[in-house]
Amino acid sequence: MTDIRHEEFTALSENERVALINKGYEEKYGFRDSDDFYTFKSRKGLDADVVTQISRMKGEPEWMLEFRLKSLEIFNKKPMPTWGGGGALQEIDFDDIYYYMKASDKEAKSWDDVPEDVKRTFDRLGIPEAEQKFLAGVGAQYESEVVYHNIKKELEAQGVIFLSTDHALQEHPELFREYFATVVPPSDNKFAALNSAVWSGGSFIYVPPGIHVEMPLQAYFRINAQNIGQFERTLIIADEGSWVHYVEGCTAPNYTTDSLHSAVVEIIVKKNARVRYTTIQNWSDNVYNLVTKRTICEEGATMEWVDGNIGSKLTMKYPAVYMMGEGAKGEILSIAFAGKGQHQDAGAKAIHAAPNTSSVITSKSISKDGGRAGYRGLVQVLEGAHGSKSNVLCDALILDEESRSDTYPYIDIREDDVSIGHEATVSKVGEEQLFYLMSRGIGEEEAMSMIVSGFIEPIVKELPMEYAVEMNRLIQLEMEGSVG
Amino acid sequence: MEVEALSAGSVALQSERHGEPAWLRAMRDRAWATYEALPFPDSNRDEAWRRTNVKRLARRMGGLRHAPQSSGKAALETLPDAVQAVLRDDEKRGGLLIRRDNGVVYHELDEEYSAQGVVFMDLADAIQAHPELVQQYLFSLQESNEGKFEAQHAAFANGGAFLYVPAGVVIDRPLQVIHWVDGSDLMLFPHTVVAVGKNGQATVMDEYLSENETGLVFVNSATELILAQGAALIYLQLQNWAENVHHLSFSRASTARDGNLNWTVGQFGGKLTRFQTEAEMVGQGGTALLNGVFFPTVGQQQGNYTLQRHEAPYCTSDLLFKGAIREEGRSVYEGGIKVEKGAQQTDAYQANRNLMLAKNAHADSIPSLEIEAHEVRCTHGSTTSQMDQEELFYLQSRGIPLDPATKLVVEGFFVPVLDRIPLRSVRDRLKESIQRKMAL
Repeated sequence: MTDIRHEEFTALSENERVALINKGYEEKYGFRDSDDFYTFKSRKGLDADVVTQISRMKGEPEWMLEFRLKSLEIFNKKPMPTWGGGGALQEIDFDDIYYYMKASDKEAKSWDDVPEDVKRTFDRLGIPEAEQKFLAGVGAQYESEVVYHNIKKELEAQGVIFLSTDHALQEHPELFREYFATVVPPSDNKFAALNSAVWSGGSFIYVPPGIHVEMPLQAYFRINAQNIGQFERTLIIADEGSWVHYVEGCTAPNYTTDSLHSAVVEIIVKKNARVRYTTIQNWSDNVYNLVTKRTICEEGATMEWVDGNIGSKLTMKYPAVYMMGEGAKGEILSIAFAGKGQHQDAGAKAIHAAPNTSSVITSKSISKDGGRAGYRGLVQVLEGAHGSKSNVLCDALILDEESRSDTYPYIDIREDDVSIGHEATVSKVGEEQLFYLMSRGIGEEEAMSMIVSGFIEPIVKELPMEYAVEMNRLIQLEMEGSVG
Repeated sequence: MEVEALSAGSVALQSERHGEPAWLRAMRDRAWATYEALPFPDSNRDEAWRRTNVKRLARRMGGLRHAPQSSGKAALETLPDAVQAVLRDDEKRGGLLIRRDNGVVYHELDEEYSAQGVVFMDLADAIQAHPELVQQYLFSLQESNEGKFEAQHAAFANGGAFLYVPAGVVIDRPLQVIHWVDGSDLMLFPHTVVAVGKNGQATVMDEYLSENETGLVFVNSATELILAQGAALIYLQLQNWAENVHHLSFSRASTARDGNLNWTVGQFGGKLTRFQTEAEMVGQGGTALLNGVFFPTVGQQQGNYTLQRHEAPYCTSDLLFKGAIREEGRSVYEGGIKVEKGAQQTDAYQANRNLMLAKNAHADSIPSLEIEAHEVRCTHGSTTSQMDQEELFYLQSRGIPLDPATKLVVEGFFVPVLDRIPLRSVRDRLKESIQRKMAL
């Protein structure tokens, strides 16, 4: 697949393409899924009929259908952004994508009910072990539908709602409608509009006042069939004084022609509540990952984004915290690793809209083998947000002469009583560090890998243990053959 | 017959009036075509102009005239106080060019330098006296098709300063250029060219002043600084405009092998200003020190757009832009370091520091890095904060009242920029501007 040019590839018939893509797939991954697995597939392309069909299939209320159709109009009207991914964005063929696929008819109640194919994939990803260890609940998304959901009894007893977003719409229509699209309206950007029109799946979490969810809630996503956009929609509401940690992991096997992932994540953190949202994203290197993630923090609330971007062809993702109440806090940790043919346009946004709010943004990016990694961020202090503090630290490593690193911080300050700092450094792996390790008998490749692991350590240590292990393993894999 | 100020006819008329050579006329015609073809930058769409809204300016431009050709030379003593106040002492000055509106009212160059082949005069005069030299350097760094305003400038660029320093010649006293405007409802398109030959050295102070008038004054200027191998240039660009002036400045420098540039931009006046300051390191071993001071207050927006472009290996660039923002003032700092493929061993630094002196001050800071070489060290930093209360307290506890204490702290804030300028007379000129602004 990697030996063939894009133009040559697109000239092939669909069957030839699939055959080409699947060449060596089983040898490489030890499994593959049959294509006739889906119980329902919308036709390719996007128009009002497809959107209506999606909504009807899901048995949604009328207001949601109207919302979807309005969003489609906005999507069609908005021009494609020219910044960020730039040219690569223009290559997306919106008519060549399935917007909705349903993997199995009913949602499984227990692990035994999950279809065998799906299970095999999860086995490969290590889900069951993880679940046995300390998962509080698993909402795993296979294609566009949540097929497996397991919520520990005590969570239910506490009144915590952890459902797929589709089911939340059915089961808690009023709660859903009160918060849905209030943080990211469809008009926010072109891809938020697209998601709003065709969204499917994702997680819905509501944590009642004062409840601390002790264990991380997790959902494992996976894109599998070719040309499927995943448009999941996650909505988290942490009521006053509550506490929750949500973990989202994405692993896509190397399987497709260009594929599109465009999610929207909305989080509302009420007074004195705290939410942490951790993502490790490892899409295969032909996936467009264009995601809008945003939090609103009320008085005294804390939001923490931990965002790791390893795979994908192009990622444009800038987790945002809007600090609307006095004393709110936002923390964003971001890692981006761009290898061959990858562009990681990652970053963060902190909007200080209330007094005495504070934000910390830490970004680490690594580019290698002609990859392009960067930080694009915004720190904004609005009038009246006196006593605000923000600190941004960006470090970038460039591992060879083909690669590129960018840093674009936007800082917009409209108050005097503030303390705002931004620092960024771009450099190569230190000769002295390398020399030190090699003088102690460590090979160059291993030494490089150790230095890179050390470079991202401040962020990795914030991950749950199994993710930290996975992250380090991913970095090691990416670093293999880096010394030449 | 009256010719519209912004028209092809006006381009032709001006070029003919000055008896310009064919190559220049052809360039102007091309520029005019580009100007006509392009829309004005849109702050909703064009990232580079997002924080500079020129809609109102563009609308009012039709009502402006080209600045008049001021007539005749004048004795220094007869020039207004505002101009006299900024002059260096005779013996500390190597040359002086005073422009009023669109003409020259005073011009001198020390014989010591002219005898060595130094050319220092108004650009319009240089086009007549040294056409080949001018052709070599004019628009050698700026392209007329880079944008709407760049094209407008190229079509109408009329007068300005031209300095040529032959190889090996060292000008050890500063040359001063003063652009003085005393009319209103005017447009000006001054252009400064400084070309320093191999191992040559020079210091230039390029200043903009105006009388406070009620009507609009629009200045669209360009500056080209060309440093040959081993050349050294200290260049100060200082605007103390009155508050009716809109100024878009497009400035670019290039350093050949081992060239050494020390470039300071000071912005104190104007209503809406946007200064582009770009250093291109095209030869190995070049050094560029870029220094900036800005100080907007109520009704003023001052923008600084910088670029440190490293095209050759083993170059160093170091930028420090500091701004104090007073009540309802607005500043925009947007700057990039760009390291091209192959520019290994680059050492680049960029810092923007903003001091917020009032609640309703507004500062934007957008430093960026685009790095395509890996054997590099590139760092940038940006801070925005209010005055350090402890520093104020310290001064007050020693009996200094709040007001002078505040001024001391602000002055101290700018000292790190001043310290980067090696020549005292240039440093003093900048310091005077800071003090003058603080007294307002």
